[in-house]
Amino acid sequence: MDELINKDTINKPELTVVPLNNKHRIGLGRAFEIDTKTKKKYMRNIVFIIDNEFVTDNMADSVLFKEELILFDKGDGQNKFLKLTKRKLEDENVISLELKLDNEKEIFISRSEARAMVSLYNMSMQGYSFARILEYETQQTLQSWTNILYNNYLLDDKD
Amino acid sequence: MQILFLFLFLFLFLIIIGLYIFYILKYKKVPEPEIQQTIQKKSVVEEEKYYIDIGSKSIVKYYYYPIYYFKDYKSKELYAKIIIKNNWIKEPFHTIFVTILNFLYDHDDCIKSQTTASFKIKIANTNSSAYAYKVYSLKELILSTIENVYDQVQNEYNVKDIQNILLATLLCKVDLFRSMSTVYKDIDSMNFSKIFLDKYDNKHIVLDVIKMIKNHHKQFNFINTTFENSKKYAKEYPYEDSEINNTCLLSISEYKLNINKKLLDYDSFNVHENVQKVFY
Repeated sequence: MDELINKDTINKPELTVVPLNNKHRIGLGRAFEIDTKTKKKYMRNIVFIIDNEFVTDNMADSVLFKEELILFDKGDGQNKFLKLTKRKLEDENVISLELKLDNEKEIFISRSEARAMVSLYNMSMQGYSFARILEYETQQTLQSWTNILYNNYLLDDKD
Repeated sequence: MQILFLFLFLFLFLIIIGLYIFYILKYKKVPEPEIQQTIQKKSVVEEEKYYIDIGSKSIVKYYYYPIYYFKDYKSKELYAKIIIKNNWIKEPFHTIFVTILNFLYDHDDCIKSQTTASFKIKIANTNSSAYAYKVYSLKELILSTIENVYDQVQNEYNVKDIQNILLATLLCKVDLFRSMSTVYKDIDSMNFSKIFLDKYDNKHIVLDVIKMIKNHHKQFNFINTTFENSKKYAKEYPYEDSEINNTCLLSISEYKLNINKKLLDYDSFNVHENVQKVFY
């Protein structure tokens, strides 16, 4: 990384959502900073969004979420987000990851879904450098998140 | 010799006095054109101009609220459209109308928009969370409804009935202010509007109209529909829902007009039509 990185907060972060799973409406929000002088895009934040709810809000948590998806049945009670459960589906014992949302909605993720989500995560990270996230991750507030959502037309109702 | 010395002294004395006078004349302070005088002159001319009524030959004084008293562009426009064009200067309607306009500006609130997706936002470091969505400004909705209602009503009713309907439309949607429900739990919008209409003559008529609007009566149901239709073209703002409990307190009982009315700021409102109606 030869370029000198400046702490710019002038550029407006642009949020785009990559759909990871259409059934459960899981998406990966990536906040970009666009430098008009050098014509380059820098990633400033990564966020997991499930059913219009921000599950994670910073880089460290979202990487942890991804690792828990990778571990799947090897994970245990120390998991922060995903809980390992055994349940019956059509007279068949199934292992799946459980996630409780704030509106008392439960989501069950299967092994194949978890693998697909991780591979999509890896695809979406290709071609971007992590230097700017790791050094100057933007610390968002509630107000700044709403402004970002409003400026990127994500608050419009699409149903 | 003595005479010669005397002449010399006199000569020198005259030169010094001459230099002194020259110095005073050159560096004398030029009196600046007095700004206060010019302003006074203009105002005097304006007063003279506006004392004359165009419609009747008798001299009538018009007292209006000055233009700087209105904090919002929309409310200023409404004041020019409704009160100045019609010459509705008779008290207490004039002051009540202006106080409610300013009250709406000070205690503005918002309603959730019809077309939003609400996001739940979290921040892990501070354990704070909120819902983010788009909202309408209540003040803008109410002011746009009044403008539309006035256009519909102005040729159908008498002057006093129009005034009663306008006051009722201003006060009927006060229930939607959230600070009303948190601070004044016992007070309805009916009791609330009694505070504003304390000195108004036709108070009971306005309160009846408010009741009829709330019960969706046939005669005044168009006010509810115009309020709903005004949401279509209203502006939407981003809003996060965390600050519900921190709404500002209402201070209705201490809400008074401190600024006196002035002699007709007629040109400042950009109303150039000749006023020919004299109602009272």
